[in-house]
Amino acid sequence: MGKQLRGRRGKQWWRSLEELAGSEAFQEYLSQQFPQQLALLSQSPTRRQFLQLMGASLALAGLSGCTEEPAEAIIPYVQTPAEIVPGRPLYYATAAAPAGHVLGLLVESHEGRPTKIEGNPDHPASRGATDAFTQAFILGLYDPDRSQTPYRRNQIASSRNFAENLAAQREALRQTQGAGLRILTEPILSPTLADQLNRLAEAFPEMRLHVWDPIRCGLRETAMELAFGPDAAGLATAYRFDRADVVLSLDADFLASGLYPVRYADEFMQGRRFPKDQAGRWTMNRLYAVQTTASLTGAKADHCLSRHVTQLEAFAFDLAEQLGVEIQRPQGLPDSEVPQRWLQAVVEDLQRERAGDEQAPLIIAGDHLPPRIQALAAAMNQQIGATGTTVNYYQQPHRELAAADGDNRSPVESLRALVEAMNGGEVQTLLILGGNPVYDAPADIDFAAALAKVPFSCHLSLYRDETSRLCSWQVPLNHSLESWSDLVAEDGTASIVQPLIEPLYDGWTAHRLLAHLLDESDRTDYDLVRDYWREQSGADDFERWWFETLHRGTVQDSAASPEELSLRGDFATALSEAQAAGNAAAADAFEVVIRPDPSVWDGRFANNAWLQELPKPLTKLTWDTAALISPEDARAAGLTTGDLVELTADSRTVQVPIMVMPAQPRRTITLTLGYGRRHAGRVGSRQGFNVYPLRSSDAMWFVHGVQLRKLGSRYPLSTTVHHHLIDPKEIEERHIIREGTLEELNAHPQHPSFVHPGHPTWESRPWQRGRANGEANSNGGEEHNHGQPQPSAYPEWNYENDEDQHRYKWAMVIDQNACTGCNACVVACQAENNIPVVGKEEVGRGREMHWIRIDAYYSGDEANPLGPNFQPLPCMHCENAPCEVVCPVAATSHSEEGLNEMTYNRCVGTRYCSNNCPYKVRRFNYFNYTGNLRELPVLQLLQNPDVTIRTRGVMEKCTYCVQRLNAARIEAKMASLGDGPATIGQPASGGDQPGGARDGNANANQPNGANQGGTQHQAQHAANGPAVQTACQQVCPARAITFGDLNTPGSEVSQMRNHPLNYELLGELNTRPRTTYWAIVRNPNPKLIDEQNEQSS
Amino acid sequence: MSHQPEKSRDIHRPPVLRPGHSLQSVTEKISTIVLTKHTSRGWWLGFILGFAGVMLLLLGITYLFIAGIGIWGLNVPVAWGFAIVNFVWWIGIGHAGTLISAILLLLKQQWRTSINRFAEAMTIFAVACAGLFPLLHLGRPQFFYFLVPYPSTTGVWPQFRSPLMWDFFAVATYFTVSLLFWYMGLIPDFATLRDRAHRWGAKVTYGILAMGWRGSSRHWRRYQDAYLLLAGLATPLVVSVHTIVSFDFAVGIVPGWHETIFPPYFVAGAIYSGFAMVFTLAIPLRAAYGLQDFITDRHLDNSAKVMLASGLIVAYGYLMEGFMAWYSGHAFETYVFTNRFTGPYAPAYWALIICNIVIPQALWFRKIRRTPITLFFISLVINVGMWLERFIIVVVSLHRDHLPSSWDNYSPTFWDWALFLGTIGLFTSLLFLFIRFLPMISIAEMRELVEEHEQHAEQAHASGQSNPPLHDRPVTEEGRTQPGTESPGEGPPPERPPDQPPGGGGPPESP
Repeated sequence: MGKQLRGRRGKQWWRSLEELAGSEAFQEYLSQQFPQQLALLSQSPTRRQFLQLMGASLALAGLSGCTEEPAEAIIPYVQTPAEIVPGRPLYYATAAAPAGHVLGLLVESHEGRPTKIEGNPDHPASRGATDAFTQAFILGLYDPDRSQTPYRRNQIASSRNFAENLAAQREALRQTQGAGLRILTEPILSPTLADQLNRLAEAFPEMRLHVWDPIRCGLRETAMELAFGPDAAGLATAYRFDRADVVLSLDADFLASGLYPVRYADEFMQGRRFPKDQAGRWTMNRLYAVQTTASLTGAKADHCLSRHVTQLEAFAFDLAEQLGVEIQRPQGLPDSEVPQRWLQAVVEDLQRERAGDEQAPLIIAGDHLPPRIQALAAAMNQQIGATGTTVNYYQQPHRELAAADGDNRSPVESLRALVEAMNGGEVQTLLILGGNPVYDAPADIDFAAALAKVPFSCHLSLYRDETSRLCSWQVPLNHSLESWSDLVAEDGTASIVQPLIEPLYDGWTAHRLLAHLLDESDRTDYDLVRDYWREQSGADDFERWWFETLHRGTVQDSAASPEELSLRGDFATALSEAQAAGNAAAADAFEVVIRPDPSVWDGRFANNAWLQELPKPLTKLTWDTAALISPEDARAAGLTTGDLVELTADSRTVQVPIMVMPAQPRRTITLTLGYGRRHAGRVGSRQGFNVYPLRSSDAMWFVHGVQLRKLGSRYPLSTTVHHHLIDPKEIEERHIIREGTLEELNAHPQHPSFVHPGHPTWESRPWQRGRANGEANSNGGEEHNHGQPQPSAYPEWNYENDEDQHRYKWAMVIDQNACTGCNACVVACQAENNIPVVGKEEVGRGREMHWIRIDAYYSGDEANPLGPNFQPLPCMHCENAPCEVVCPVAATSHSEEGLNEMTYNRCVGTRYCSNNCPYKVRRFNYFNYTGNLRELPVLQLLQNPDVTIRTRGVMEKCTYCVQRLNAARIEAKMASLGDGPATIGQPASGGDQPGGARDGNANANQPNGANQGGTQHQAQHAANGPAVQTACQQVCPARAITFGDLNTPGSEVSQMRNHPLNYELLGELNTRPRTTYWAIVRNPNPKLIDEQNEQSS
Repeated sequence: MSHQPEKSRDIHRPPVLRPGHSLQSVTEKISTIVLTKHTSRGWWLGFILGFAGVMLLLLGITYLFIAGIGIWGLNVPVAWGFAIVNFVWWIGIGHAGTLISAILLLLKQQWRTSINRFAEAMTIFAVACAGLFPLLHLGRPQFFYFLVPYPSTTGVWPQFRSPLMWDFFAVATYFTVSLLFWYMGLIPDFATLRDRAHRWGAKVTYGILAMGWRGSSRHWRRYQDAYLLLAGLATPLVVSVHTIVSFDFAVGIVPGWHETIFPPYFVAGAIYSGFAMVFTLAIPLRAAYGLQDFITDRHLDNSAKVMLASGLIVAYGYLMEGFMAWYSGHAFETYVFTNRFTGPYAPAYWALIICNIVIPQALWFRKIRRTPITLFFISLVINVGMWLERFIIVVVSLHRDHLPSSWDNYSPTFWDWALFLGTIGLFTSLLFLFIRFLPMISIAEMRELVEEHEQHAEQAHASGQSNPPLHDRPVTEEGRTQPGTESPGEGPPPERPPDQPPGGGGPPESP
């Protein structure tokens, strides 16, 4: 190397000896350091390379002639911060909007590193729970592919360099009053940011602001204007499902997507926990759904129809006419093909006499529907008296933007205007704050080409994505968990976003960027947010206000009050002038329905391995998107799952693999967004197929007249369930899912026949007839009474309380009625228990590692199935566990509290336990799935220190979050040293009947504020000593999971277990599972039951 | 068995030793195969093929240890695949050796004599192959010793309720006893080889292995006592090993596994496959080394009958599985049974039925039983069939059990096959080494047969009777041992081979 140095002549600039030396090691070091050269996981440094590198650096260190090791002092806490007790996590309140809707959060932090996200019980949108995206949000923080330094024209640059450039831009813009400055943002949810933008607009009056979001693309606003006039366009809509006894969903998947999925799932399920009416009969709300593609909401519906969007529009008009809305059914609408009986039944149900004014029906239309349908829904809600009770409209106080370019309210128009300006050379400076328009702009708006014409473009983003690479600057964005900010939920509730950790990289925030532009670079984000709220709060003692607000997580009393609205006078005319949903599908063409993906949303989570591997709720597909097609269409076109097809609309084409989907309407193909990213990171790049090219600005969600062509090649799809294998009759005989109706339940409230059906096949044997009845009865009686369990050859355990000692008997009850299949529990479990991701190929081999899975079973026939019914399966923690007796080394054993425990370092990996587990909930480390933790050290920060990382060759499974049980046990013991309770707390029941334990019962009949669900939830925490919740239970938006101690009198779980709906899955095997299920009860309209039977038979 | 009807049948029966053999010719014939310098091309070809298999096995094992058992086609629910299938298959094959050696010895079935030696060798090698799999199939094979109840500071013992635990003991015991039994039987032959070997190295090696055998009457007496004792020990093991292997499944609650018929049905299946493997080996060997005199059609006939009988028990087992599935009315059980012949692995099931039940029915015909080529073909078919049976039990039961949501298919990978073919290679190589370096037929016992034949001929001549059944005649002790006058290794022959000087080849017996 010295020779190389001496070999140089003349004046040369160099940054380090190594660079000058140009050694191979340095080249390697470069490629390691700078991730753009680090495209694939397979190229990540192996241990050998790492050692070589270390060796090389040591040799290079020798160049200085000094071999002394650097002195590095490890400094302990001389004064430990008061709140830190090593080993004990802290929780901080914050907020985030991972998928565009704000959720209040509590984040668990271990010695300064956040490891787990929970919902903030005080926040109206989260109510203590979160969705799957938010659970996986924490992985995004530690994603090693995140952008780490600024880039200038795809070359590494420094933050200072960028700041200088930005300052130069600012000075140039000052000359022109901001002409040529354009800012493109995602929808603005931060009041401080809105304030900054407003101030920027004052400083640069010629500047223009554009808003683009591929999901919230402005149809809702247009519809509001259509229904209530221009002033209403900016109003937010919020529903109250807890007050709705009849809900009609017009293609609104309110349980899964939209602005409030977590809150709506909770509210809706409150009406499904069997409140009693005056006559003492159990009641339930009723959900009708008309959908354009299979959805989670449709799966929970009591009556569900699948129709084309044009038919849906016709249905909306028919319904509005029937309900008495003064409109005229336009000419040319197709037949909705909704049976007249069905329509009549819905109308009667919606117009039913209601006892008080606390309850009302509700019609909800999807945000993606053509404005005409949404406006009709709003008008119908006015007509049936829903507005003010179940539907409310809010101003959005903190989101008002003076700078909004008034002409282009719709994001699509806003983006189009921007692109036109860029093409016209009007844009000198373009700041793109978040988003990825190069990837997700409509196909007819060529953003990428226009971007090339902008001299100074800057993309502030978490990743160096498709847009970043075409901008002159890319600036790393700090993750929401690293930044100070604030967020406003749809109903106006504001939260302060507080960072959980120092930024991992040299990142920026939108606040900082705008501060630089406003020449306020000395103000930090913290100052900006505080100063904004100092002004807004009007508190005398701001420090106290600030402290309390941070602690609580929400700004007190920030929720807006509902607006009174009335339909605009010319509603009927406006409606008929509005654009129709489209032409009826041609006979030979398909209608394509585009939806955000349940895993990667619009593509922003493409590099999130947890979400990529999350089986999509309905298809159970992982790592990919697929074109969903109905079985009949597939047969007609000669297609099977995995066939590649080409879809063409207006000369735009996409290629996708086909997946045959039971509930898919005929002549309809459903595509989801978010795949086929070119530059997402090593997880998401080139994964799946990009369907954005099919999406144009006039057909964002429904593309008509799409031609399908079979390509003849196949593409492997990895699913966790093989739908096509399952014969419905098989499931029927196995009694896995037990489903009945409210009428059946009320007919036999104590012994509903559908919960304990016995064994029909027994009865078919003449010599078994007598026994069969006995079996069915004794079986049912046993399950119900918990009295005499079946005998077992193995010794019985004693779980009962002694006189002087409380024994715990942990159990879980899963209310299948409430489960919406949203997957939040799956990711929560993954985050809590350090569950590895295995990759697409391994999932394809059937080796996914999730400790809780959600099984989905359809009933009825293929064309008109009911459901699917969702059944989450964690470990059953059997009292007679089949896994325990077969393990030759006692690696899985029984605890005295009834848990099946896994001792990882005792496990030799015979996998016998998995074979013998009838529920197949055990997961085996076929490879060293956690190996990347060593290669990518940043991922080590993510791991929950209370849970062991498993190595290759060991079995693992759900532990009932035993680490949480143990933490609570320690806490209880410590509390008992003082005067506190000696036992782990149990949420006690508040209801007066079994099953009324949840707040749903109490709440359904009384008016309650938006926060009430949250406060009740919190009250559960404080019930009796430190309460313990499993991760899946805590996150569940619908509160389908109850966990607790059966030996605590009155505990919620023991009440639920004694409910007549409770049953043991595969109980006839005498495994005596501690996890039990509530049978599913649907509430079909009695007038439509016959028809439903006809459909399904 | 009564005397008289046997007599008449025996006339039509081929002898267990072709007439015309003397003690010397027997010794000569068998020991030459071992002691000859010439190694035939056929041997080399077979051995190289087998050795290639061993290399494949080593490759498979090495990569397995580097990467983990994920290289196999396993998943959840099918967490057991080829490893366990092969384990059960090899163990089953290992049954014939001990059955022939021990049980037939105790029952005094003398026709066992010429086939017992290599059947025992086959047992050892098969069990060695089988023994690899439980080890390799562990997720963490480095901790296999957790299954051993060794005194450890952790105070943790194996879990004695687990059939895998029992397996460990059963297989280990079986292997040990089989090995002892085999070695025991070899001792007199080692002495013969020691005495007849010309090369120094061979002399020393066989000498050490012979453990100082001199052929004294005391030696013979103890030898026979010990041999009988070991046979007695080995007999229950024939039943116990596969019974315990069947517990691996029967104790589980997987539909298709949880069946009380499994123990007898597994034992019968093991004998079935074991005899099939004996044929697969004996018929080519007999042809290659011209051993038709020793392994006669009578052997083939008898073994084929045993095979047919055990095959019928297996068929009965299949039938009962179906009957119980129907009779119990148990939805899961019924489904698993119907899924076998209608599900994705239906071709395997139908092939199994054809291989194990349909084709072996040809054995009802004597002509087929006595035609080596058809027997060889049938034995191959049964080997395949029995492997498929284990595949059906292990994989097909697992792939669709209680909850349909967990159903998945299993497809073996290259590495699954590598290990399977590798153990076949290991087995073949060991077998080729065995036939090259050890007498594949027991010389001592064959000489006994010769002697009996001669005595029998004399008696028959004297009494005018035709051949009485061999086993009915007590073996005479007289003339068997004349210490000091016999070649110590040559056992009981009353005559001295003319070309052999007294005491030649062995160390002189000390008075």
